[in-house]
Amino acid sequence: MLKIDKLNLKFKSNGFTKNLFNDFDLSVNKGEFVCILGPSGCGKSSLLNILAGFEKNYTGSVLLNDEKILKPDIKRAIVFQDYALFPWLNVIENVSFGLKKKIPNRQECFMQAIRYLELVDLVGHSRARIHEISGGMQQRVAIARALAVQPEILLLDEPLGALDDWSRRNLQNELIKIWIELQQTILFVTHSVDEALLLASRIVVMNVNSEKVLDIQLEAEHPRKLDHPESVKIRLLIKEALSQKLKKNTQENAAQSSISDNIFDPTI
Amino acid sequence: MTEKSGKSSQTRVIFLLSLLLLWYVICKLEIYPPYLLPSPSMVLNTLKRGFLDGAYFPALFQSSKRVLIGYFTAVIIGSLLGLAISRFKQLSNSIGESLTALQSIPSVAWVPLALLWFGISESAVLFIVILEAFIPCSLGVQNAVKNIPPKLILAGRSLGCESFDLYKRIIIPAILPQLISSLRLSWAFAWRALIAGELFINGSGLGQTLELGRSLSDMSEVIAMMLIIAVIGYVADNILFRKLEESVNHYS
Repeated sequence: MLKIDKLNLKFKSNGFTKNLFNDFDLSVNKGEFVCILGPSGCGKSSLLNILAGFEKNYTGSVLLNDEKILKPDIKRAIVFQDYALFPWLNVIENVSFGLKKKIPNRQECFMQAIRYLELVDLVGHSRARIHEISGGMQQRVAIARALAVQPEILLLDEPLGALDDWSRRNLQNELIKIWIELQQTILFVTHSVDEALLLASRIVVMNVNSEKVLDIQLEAEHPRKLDHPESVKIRLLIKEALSQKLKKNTQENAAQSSISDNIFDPTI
Repeated sequence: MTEKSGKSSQTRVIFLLSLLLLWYVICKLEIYPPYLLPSPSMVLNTLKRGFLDGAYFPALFQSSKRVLIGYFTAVIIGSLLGLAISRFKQLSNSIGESLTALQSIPSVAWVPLALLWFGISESAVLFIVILEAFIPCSLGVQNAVKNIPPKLILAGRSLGCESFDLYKRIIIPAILPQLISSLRLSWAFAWRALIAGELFINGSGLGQTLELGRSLSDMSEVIAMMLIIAVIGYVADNILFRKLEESVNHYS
């Protein structure tokens, strides 16, 4: 479904041209819950920016259902760490934002939005303003907004990083529920090993040089426990994979993640 | 809340009344002769006469017409220019920076050129009003667009908004609160520029009436005009624009 081949991304930082990804390959099948795990600066956010279509100056091929990814599209919905909800709209207007073109009728549009608000347990707050609800609720609105357009792949950029423990655990359960109920293909970027172990059906580990150092399937049933034998085993593998590569490359600089200067690019 | 606002309006009234009293006392003590400082009752009489025999209405009408035409033209030019400047880097490096320099030239400094180019006419005043009022609007819009969180624009784009839609559904709503503040600032500039411009041209208007009072050494006319100018400015700024600002605040 998603196929990344020989990906390279050149970008300028402090006057130097740097290269991210060095022929990075990744294939994601329909229905997978893939966690991309890596230390900060490994390029995992840049990868998500490419997949979302914000960054088009890459080389190599990035295909979703054989279609080259060059600009944003509702087939690839993204959820950011800081929610990025529209403060001038209320909850349900936010959720139906991406539906307006598909469903011109306002009433039907809201009906569809309500279905996704139900999924994240927020129907009771559909008329609330964004600043009136908590961070955890805001992130659920953002997830509902992204799901409402029925994307082929849901991209999540450290979505739980800004939340308190309690909200984080809640949202982890919601994400698992969504993944199972909608059979949604999910690409989840995180730097938390525990989170990846709890959620993913597959974990891809990247090191600071944006190389793929581990790609492993998880079989354990949800809800998972961190002391499950599989989790313990995979945690060790992740640790090994990261430390090996680190030793090898200690002199090299960490790559920085970046996004094009001009967020309005390319089409306005 | 109502008790608080009641109290603050009480303070306001007391302050204004004591100013009036001070003015009255100074006149009563005859520190300055009445042709230099007319008493409150003289100004009141001038105001009463001006409104009752209708002499002020043409002036009010002409001034309002000028300022509204000038203001709306300025605001349209200013907002569009602001959007264009924030969109294109070349524009921001060229026009964007010179706008700040332009803003530091007070409107009166343009009067000689305006009179030379447009004659002693309506157009000269309009020119000055537009020139003064479009700059704060343009700068405000530029700044507002720059302050939109980039993630909001990315989120909008990934939800299917591009080009015109992006302006209609993301950029304009996002900058609206700051846009209204810029409109308010532009209004203040337009109003001052209007009066300054009107001092120098013929015909009817608040500025002209004030200038006529000066040439006839009728200080109560001058003060009456100043009061009218202040009251109109206050009403527009503190009542009209404040209501508008409150109504578009994202967080209220």
